[in-house]
Amino acid sequence: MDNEYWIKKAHKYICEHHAFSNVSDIVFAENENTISASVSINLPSKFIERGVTNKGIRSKEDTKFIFDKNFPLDAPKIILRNDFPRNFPHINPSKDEVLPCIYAGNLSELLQQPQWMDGILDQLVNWLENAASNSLLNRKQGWEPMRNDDFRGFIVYDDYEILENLNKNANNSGKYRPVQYSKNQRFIFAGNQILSNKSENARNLFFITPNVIDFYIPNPIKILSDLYLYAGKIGLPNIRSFIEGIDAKFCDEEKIFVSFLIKRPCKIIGSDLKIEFMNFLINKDKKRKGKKRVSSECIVEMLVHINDKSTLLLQKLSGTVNAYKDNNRYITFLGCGSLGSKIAVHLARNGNDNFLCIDNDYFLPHNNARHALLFFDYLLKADSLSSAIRSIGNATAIQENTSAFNVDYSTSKIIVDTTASLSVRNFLLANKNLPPIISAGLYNSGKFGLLFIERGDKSCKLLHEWAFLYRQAITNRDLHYILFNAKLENINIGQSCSDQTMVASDAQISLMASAMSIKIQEIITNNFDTEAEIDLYSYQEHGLNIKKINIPGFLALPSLNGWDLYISSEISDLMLRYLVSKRPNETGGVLLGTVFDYAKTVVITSLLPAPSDSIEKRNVFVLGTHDLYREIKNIENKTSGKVTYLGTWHTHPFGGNASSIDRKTFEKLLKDRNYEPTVCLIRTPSEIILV
Amino acid sequence: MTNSTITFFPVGEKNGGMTLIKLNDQNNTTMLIDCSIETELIADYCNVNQELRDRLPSDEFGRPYIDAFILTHRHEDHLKGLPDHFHLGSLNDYNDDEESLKIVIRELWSSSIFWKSETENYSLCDNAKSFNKEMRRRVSLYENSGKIQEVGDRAIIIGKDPSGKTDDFDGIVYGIGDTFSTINNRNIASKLKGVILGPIEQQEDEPDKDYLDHNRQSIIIQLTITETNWEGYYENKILMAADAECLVWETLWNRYKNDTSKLIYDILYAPHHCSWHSLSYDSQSKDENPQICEDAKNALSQKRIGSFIVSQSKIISNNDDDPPSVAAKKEYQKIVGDSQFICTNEYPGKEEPEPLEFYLTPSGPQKRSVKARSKLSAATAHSTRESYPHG
Repeated sequence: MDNEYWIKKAHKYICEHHAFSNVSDIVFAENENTISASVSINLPSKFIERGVTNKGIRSKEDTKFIFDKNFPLDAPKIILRNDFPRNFPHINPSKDEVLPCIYAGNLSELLQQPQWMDGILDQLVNWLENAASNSLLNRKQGWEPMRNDDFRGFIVYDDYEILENLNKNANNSGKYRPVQYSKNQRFIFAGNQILSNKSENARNLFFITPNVIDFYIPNPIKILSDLYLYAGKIGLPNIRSFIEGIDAKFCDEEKIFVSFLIKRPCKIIGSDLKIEFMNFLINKDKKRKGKKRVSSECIVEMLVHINDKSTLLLQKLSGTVNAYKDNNRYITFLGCGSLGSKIAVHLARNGNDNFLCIDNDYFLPHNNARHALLFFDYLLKADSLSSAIRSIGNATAIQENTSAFNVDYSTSKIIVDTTASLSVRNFLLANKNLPPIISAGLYNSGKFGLLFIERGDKSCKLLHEWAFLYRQAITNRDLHYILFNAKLENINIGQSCSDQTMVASDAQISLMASAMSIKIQEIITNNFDTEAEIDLYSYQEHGLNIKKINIPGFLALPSLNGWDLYISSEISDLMLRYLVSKRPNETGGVLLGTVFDYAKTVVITSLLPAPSDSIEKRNVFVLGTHDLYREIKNIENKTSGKVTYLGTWHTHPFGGNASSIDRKTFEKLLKDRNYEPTVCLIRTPSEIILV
Repeated sequence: MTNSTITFFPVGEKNGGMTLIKLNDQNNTTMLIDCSIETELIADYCNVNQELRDRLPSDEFGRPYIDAFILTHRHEDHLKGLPDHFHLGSLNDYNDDEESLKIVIRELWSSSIFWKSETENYSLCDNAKSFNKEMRRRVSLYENSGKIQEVGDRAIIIGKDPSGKTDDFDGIVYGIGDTFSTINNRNIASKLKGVILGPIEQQEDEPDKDYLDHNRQSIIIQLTITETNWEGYYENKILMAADAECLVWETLWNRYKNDTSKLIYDILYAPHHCSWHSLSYDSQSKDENPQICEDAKNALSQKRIGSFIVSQSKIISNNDDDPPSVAAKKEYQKIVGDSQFICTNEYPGKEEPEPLEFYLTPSGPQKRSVKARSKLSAATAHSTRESYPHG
C-alpha cells in the first residue's frame, strides 16, 4: 500500500509511547490496516488495588487503531473493546463498536500537528483516564451535547422560539409544526422556511423532558423502537401515541422529524441554554392501505441542529458586544444608497435590531454597480434594504418610502445620514428636536470619507462640526481639497435618463463603509454616550488611513434677532489673550464664521486681529481697514463663501457694557450689510457681551 | 477545571521543594508550597519555571498570581528563585514591562520565626532574608491598621510566638492544632480544610539549637480537599510533611495516636526529601544497626487504600546519600507498595523528569499520565546539546 511507510511509522510511535504495551504487528488488509495495543490507565486511588473502577474502566484497556488508505491525512479510527462501558459522554454513536470521541476538534487535524501520532495517543490516554475518574463531563465548560458524527443532515430552527412555545405547553404532550425538507446526494436539509421548489412537506415534533436529566445515556438509536426506548429513559414514555397520531393525520408524508429538548443541569457547551436539542428523522414505511406507516422497525437517523438565523446568533458570530435592541426606538438610516446600504447591512450582520430605512428612490439595474443588495425587481430602495435586514437576522426593519422631510423621527434613537444631500443636511441642521445624528459622506471619487458624530447630549451638533471643518479648510490643504473639489458626474443610465453621482468602485465604497460601520458599532456598544468628533478616512496606496479630528467646545450666545449664535471656545479664549496683551488699551478685529441660513444659525469660528491702521486706546477702539477686504475675500474664495465676515469684536479690558458708540457702530454695520446676520461682540475679562 | 489538582515539580541536584495545588472552587484558588525554581533545566530536560507558569492563572492586569504562598521553612532549596520569579514589595511597585512578569503572591504564609534575625547560631540564606523582609512588611501593615490587607499585602502567621509577639495578631495567626478553610481571605470550607500540625512547640529537654533548626521549624499541614460528583464525594487527604524529622513525627504520633484522622493521607509528601532521619534517630552510616523509630513510622503510615508517597528529591541511588535515602524509600514502599512510591526526579523516567500531577477526584487522587513530547523537538533538544565535528 502507498501509505505503508506511514503506518509503520505510526506503529513505531505506539510502541514507543509510555502508556502503550502489547503492541501487535500491523495487520495489513485491502482497505484497512490494524494495530492492536493495550493502554495503561492510572486509576483513582480507590480503585487501584482492584484494577477496575466502579464504572468498569480497567487499569489496562485494549484498543485498536484502524488505518485507512488516506492515513496520515485522515486520522486512524480508534476502537475500544466491545464490552467497554458505554454510559459515558464523548462516545460516538455506533451500535456495533465503541468509538471514543477523544478530541474536541477534528482528529485528522490534530494528526497534522508536530506531535503527530503522539498527539492522538496522548488524547486517548487522557480520555481513558478521564473516564476512569468519571470526569469526561466538565460541568464548568458545560454539558457535552450528544455527538452526531453519523448524522443524516441538518435541521434549522430557532432554539429560543421553540423553547418558548413548548414552555407554554403545560402538559408536556409535545407539539408539532410543519417543516419542509430537501435532499441532495449527501444530506437532508430541513427548516421552516421554503428551501427550494423541490422541497417536501413533513412535521417536526418537539418534546421537552419534564425533569432535568443529570446523567449520560448512550445513544445507539437506529430504529424507531430504539427511539421509544431512549425517550422512556429520559422521562418521555408517551411519545409513541403522539407520533402515531401524526403519522395517521399526515399519512401521505414520507418522513417525521422529532426533536427532544432535554433539560440538563448546566449550560450546553456552546449554548446559553440548559437544554440539549436532539433531533431525529423517522423514515416512514411504504404506504399501504389502512396500515400505519411508523412501525417499530422504521429507520431513524440523527440530524444536526442549526440555529435559525437570529440577531443573537449574529452577535455571537460577529463578536458584537451590547448590540442595539429597543422595540420602541430605531436606528434610522436616512438614505439607502450604496454607502447607506453597506453600513446598514454591516450593522444588521452584527446582530443589531430595529431599523428604520428611509429613501424614496427606486432600486434600478445600474445600482448593482455599488449597492450592498442585488437588483431583482424595481423596488424602492427602502423596501429592499429593510427586507434584506429582516432576512439577515430576523431583525425588525421597517421602511419609509418617502422624503426625509416627511418622516416622524420621534421613534428614532439615532439617525445615520448617508444621503450626501445638501437639502437633507440643511433639514437636519435646522431641526432642533432630532436624536443624535451621524452623518457619513464620501468625497473625491471615494478616496476620502467624512464621518460626523454629534455629541450624545447634542451639546455639539452637526452645524458646529461643519462650521469648524470649513474653518479648518482655510489652513489645511487636504481638507480644503476634500471639501471644495467635489467631483459629481452625470452618468447615463438610459436614454435621456442620467444619475448625478460620484464615480467610485464598489470596493472603494465598501472599504469606507466597513470602517465607518465599525465606528458606528462602537457608538452603539457604548450606549451612544459619545463625544463629538469628525473622522477623516483617506484611501492610500497601502490601505485606509483614519484620522480623528477633535472638535472644540462651542458656547451659546444670546439669540440674535431670532438667530441662534454660537462661538467656538477657542475664539473666545483668543480674544481674551488679545485683551490681556493690549491692556490697558482696547483692541478688536473682525469676526469670521459660517451662516446656516435655513437653520437660522451663526457659528463664529475665527477672528482677525486689528488691522495696522486701527486706533487702540484706553477707552476707544477704531477698527482700521488696511488689507482687511483683501484678506476676508481671500478666505471667502478659499471656502466658497462658507467662512465669511460676520461682524466685529473689541475688548473692554476693565469690563463694562456696550457704549453708545458701540451701539451706533452696530446699527451702521447692520445697515451697511443690508441686514444680513451681523454680530458685534465685546470681550471683557470675564464674559462676552453682545452689542 | 473538572478536578482539583496537585503538582509536584522535579527538583535540582541538591533536592528542593515546590508543590502547586489548584482547587476547582469558584475562584480556582491556587496555593504554592515552597519554591524551587532552578535556572538550569532539570536533568537537561524539564523547565520548571515554564511548567509552573503554564499552570498559573493571570489576574485582570495579565499578571500571573498565586492566592497563597506557604513557606514551610527557611532552607535555600525551598526558596530557590524567590526574588527572581516572585514580586516582593507593594503591588504599586509592580513592573509590568518586564519580559518575564513576576508572580504575584496574594497572601503570604510563614511560621512566626520570620521575626527572628540572623545570629551566630541562626543563619539565614539571602532568599530567606528577602522572604522575612516581605513578611515583616505585610505584617506591619496589618499591625498598623488592624485590618486584613488588600491582595498582595496579606499575610498569615503559623504558630504562636512563645515570647508573645503574635498576641496582637489574632486575625492573621493560626495556632498549632488549628484548622483553617480560608485562603486569601476567602472562605472555601466546602472545598478545603486544613489542619496545622507543625511546627510543634519546643519539647522538654530539647536544646534551643535543635529547636531553632530550620527543618525542625517546618510547617506541617494536612489538607482535606473535597471532590464531589452526582454520585457522591471524597475527601482527598494530603499530608504535606515538609522537612520535619524523627522527633516531630514521634511527638505527633503520641499526640494523635488515639485519633489518627489528622495523620491519614491519600498522598504523603515524604518528609525531608525521603530522609532516613524522618524515620530514625540512628545514623545509616555511623550506627551499626540503625533502628526505625516505630512511633515516627506509625505517624507516617496512616495511609488509605491506593495512597501514594511522593519523594520530592533528586534520583534515589544506592549510595550513602541522605536525603534521599534508599533505606527510607524501602520503608515507604512497605507502607504503600512499590508502584505507589514515586520520586519526582524519576517520573516518568530518570532521564526525562516531568511534573508529577494528580487529579483529586471523587474517587481519590489519580496520577495523570505524562504527555509525550514532540519527537521533532526532542530531536532538536538532543542534537543541540553537544557539538558535532565535521570533516
